[in-house]
Amino acid sequence: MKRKYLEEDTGYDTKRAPKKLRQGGRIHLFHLSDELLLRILSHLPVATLVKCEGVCRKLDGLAKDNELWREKYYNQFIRHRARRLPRLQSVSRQVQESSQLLYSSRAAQWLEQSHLVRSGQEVSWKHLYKVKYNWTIGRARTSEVLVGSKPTPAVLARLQNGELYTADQAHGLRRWKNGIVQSFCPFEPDKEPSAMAAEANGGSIFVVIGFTDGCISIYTTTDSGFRRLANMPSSAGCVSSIASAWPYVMSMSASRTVNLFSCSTTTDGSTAVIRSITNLHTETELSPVALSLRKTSRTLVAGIAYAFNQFITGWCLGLQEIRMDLEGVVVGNRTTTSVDTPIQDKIKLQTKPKIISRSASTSPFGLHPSFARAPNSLSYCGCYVLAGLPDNTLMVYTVTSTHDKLEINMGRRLWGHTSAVSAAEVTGTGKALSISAKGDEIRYWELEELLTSSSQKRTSTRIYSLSMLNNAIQRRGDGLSLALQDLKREESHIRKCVSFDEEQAIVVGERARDCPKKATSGGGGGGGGATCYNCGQTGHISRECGQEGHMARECPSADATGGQGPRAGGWGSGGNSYGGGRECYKCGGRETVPLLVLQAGMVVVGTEAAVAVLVAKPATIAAGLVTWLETVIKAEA
Amino acid sequence: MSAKAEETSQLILQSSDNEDITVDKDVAERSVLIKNMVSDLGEEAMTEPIPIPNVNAAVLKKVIEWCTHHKNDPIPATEDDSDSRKKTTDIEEWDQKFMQVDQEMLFEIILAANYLDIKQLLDVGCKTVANMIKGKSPEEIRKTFNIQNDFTPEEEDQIRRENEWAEDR
Repeated sequence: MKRKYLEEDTGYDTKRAPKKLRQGGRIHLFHLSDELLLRILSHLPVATLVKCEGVCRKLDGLAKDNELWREKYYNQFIRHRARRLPRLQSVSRQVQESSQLLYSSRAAQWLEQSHLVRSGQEVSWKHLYKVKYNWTIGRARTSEVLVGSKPTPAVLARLQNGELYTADQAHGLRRWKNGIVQSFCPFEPDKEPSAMAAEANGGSIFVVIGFTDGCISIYTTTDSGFRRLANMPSSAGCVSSIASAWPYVMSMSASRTVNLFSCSTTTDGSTAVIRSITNLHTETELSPVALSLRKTSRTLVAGIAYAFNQFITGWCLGLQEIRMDLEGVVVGNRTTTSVDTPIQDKIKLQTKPKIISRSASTSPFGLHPSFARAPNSLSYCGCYVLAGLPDNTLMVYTVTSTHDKLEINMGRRLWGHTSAVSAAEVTGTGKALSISAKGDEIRYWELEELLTSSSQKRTSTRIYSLSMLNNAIQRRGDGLSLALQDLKREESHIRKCVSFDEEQAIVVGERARDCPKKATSGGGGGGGGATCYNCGQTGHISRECGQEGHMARECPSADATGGQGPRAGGWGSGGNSYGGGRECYKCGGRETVPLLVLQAGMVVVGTEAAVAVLVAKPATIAAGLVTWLETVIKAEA
Repeated sequence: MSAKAEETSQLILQSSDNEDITVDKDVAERSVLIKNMVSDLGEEAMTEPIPIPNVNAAVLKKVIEWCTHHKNDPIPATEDDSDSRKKTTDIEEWDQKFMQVDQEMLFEIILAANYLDIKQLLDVGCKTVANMIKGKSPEEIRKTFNIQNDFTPEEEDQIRRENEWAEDR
């Protein structure tokens, strides 16, 4: 039979012959149906899959298939997490029976990422994959935008729906897109903003700004720009922190008062009325403070996380939580304090009698070595509190908030930074971004993974900017070593991490400009016979070039000789902010310029998937998470 | 085993080029299509040739060869195909050798496996093709499968730039 078969079918080489190339064979790859081709493509790694797009139009269309990328996304980023959660099976036993952790388009368990799937809109899975992938390997594109030219008071910034909102005294409130101001709204003279919150609600963006004089203003975006909905003067003093959960706003002011407001817009939506719900006062200086306002369908939970110095134990983390219904009326009447009684003596919170007020603190033993000094920053969102410390580390805590207790637990130190951490921000899903004081290091953390598994190969990802280096190389041409120095110096003054969302993070920084006169007077610099490739003269290098009328790296002569492609603007791609006739910064004396750095290629974050976490969470380890969520659910029920 | 062999009945499959091929029933029933046909036809299936109009004798024999080798493999319980995809392009050694055929035969096997509904063979076939694509540049892929490039150089360049992010691992 075998022989017969071979004799008859000479057309087929059924012996184990090497694959050979058949030109114009009867059956071509494209004789297979699209379904079969997709099946083939689904076996390919991503790196090859994207190569297929470049083969021909047919494969291009197939390799971009959304379902294909959805599967890739699931397999790459979701499934491994599912496997690591040991109790998952017992939580969802029925699903487990049918090998639930493997991808299938309908029944895939998206764990807490279910918000990605749930939202009814069109999702580009390839795009999501790309963003997530870049994020996990710490690759980002950076662009800088000049937001002020003279030393100004701090510029505040928030990221909301992919757009950037900044507020500062000189320019007022501004909305940015791709480094260009879209609209702006000046503040009244002498009004200096000191705190800011932005929130999307029902299609509009609400921006709440607190000022140094205690005033709180609420703005909303309109087609043409901004409209101020409300302005509420106050004598409470400089507003240091604001949180919003529209229509509720919570602010903390320098006089150690926490105020809670509700806003109601008039029927035409042009103005809003601010109504004070309650205020709390503390006699201790609390710094830093992180405010968190959560709104469920029936309750409003205001959380205040703060660091305070206790005589015996040193710096501790405290947390207070106020629960009320949406009218601002008490939900129950109960006060609890955890672990340490000294806290109560230390912090006296004068609450109105009927407000539920609870506070908790970390155990002094667990905490003791951690806060040797005051943390530089605190961020509180969902069940996470993240503190950036001056000793190059971060501390993360989870908060258990149930009907019975409020507890801070699981203090865990995060290593990774090589200099003091100046700021850190956490989101409700446990993604965090931290930046070191000198600004040369931005790190990304997935706290949920960190806290649920004991051994981790890597705790955080350092974010590298691709374009930053490229720009520097382009600018400098062959003087790469100089370029790298330049790069380092330029990055070295970024200060504060401000805000991040799925794809971007913004960092506000300041950069001191070097004066070359100082350098030359300081002894002729480094190179005796060096040639400046800006102007071609010897005796100095370009950094010390004294030519005016341009910035050193925008030197037109360098452009002509180097031909390194477009030199859009000075730093990064913020070219539009730089006017033409700026003086060379080398000679411009020393000034401080606040800057914004936009990082693209970030992670997907969001808090709406909270309920999904409950199912996925191992009850033992992350009890905090579960109980917190239970609270949320109970409150809603 | 011997007892089982006695029970084993045989089926006659008729290929598209009208060749009758006798095959053990349990081997043939690796194909969901044939299995369903047999249960529909009942006794008739044991005597009458079963027409397989979309598959020629050469390919059918190749498919039977695979089924014979894999007749004792457990059949995956569910239709959920993700299990085999877990290790994207791992193919067991025997299958690798089995699939060392020319492209035309390979595509015919895939088409036949798809038609006959033999999921595991289909996966092996698809993985084999995937392995031929893996790690190749677009130009190499075109050469391998004799595909015409219908992009302009600009379009090609743009696609390449769009996908730079995925390149280094």
